[in-house]
Amino acid sequence: MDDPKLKNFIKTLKSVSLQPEEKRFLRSQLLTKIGVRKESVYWWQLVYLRSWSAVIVLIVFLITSSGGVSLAAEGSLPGEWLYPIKTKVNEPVARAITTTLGQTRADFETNLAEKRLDEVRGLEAQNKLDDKSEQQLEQLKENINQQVAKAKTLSSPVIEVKEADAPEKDDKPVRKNMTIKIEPKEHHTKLEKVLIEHQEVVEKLNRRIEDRTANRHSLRDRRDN
Amino acid sequence: MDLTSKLVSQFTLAYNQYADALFRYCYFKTSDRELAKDLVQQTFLQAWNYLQAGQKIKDFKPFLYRIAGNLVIDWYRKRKEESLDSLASGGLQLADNRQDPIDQAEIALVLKTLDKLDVGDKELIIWRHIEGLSIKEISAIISETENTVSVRLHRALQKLRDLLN
Repeated sequence: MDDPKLKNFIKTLKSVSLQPEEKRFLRSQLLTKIGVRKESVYWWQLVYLRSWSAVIVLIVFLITSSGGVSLAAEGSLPGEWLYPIKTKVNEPVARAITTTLGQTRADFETNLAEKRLDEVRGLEAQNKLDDKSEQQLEQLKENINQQVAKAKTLSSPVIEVKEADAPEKDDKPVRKNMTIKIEPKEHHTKLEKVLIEHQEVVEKLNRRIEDRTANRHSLRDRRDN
Repeated sequence: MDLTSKLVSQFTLAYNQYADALFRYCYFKTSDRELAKDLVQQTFLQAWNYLQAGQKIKDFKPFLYRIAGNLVIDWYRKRKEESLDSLASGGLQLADNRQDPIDQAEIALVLKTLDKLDVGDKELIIWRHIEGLSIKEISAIISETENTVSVRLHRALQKLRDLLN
């Protein structure tokens, strides 16, 4: 097959494939359906209780308590003890069933990015951002950046700062790469709104980090003098 | 290793090896990514049931393609009001949201060209030139002689060249 058009044609078709996580997820579902992978409920431990009513009560308790904890974790903020359950248990589970529920991964990750931004706003509203150290603020910023990057990668990546979105009262010409504060508008998609809010939140965190750094240097200078 | 573990091992190996190829095949036939994934899963489940029933599979690849092909035909039959060709060419779902938009557009264009071929020619091109099946394997899938497959493939490739030029 020497024809370059044909070669290119075939090459393009060969590029279509399952994403690695899709392949893993399908395999996992398959193995569960054929009975190879089971839910890890240790039935043999419950048999030793010898009382089926006790077994049933225990099962119900385990399901409702774990479900209750999981539910309570949903409202937790960074730094609270339930927060790791939210990010390391609830969210991975939700991510794994995303395809099954028909929601795209892009939508899921965008919603999660919005959640990360809401968490920072929640901390601010409760005046808890003031208690965070420089390192903790950096970590918050990093978590947000990572999640927004994920949402961007999975969604359409082209978001531009348009002249039409610039504040009307500003007479200065809009220069390329100029940082413009933009309010989300009706026509913006959810991802676009998240990206706009992301800029705002990261700027706030950066200001606090700069304050912490300035304080630290100031204390060090005073100590040295 | 007991019999079930051997079967699971064989099955998982087949999945790891052929899932991508089967997905591509189902996607090219249905133009629907989620449906293609479902069909892949159903294909492997049927293969598992076959293994569980104690049947031996001499060659996994053509066997899986035969199942997938039949599942696609069943799906088409369920949608009686639409023809095979119109289903394939209309309302194409993009290959993957995560791919570059330019790549997505290129794939869409290439698929539209592929759809202009007859169903049989399209299958031959997919099997031989995208999935790398041998003439022998293809003849096992479609129950034709190797000579017939070679001739049909040559003609299908010529038609594709004409479309591209």
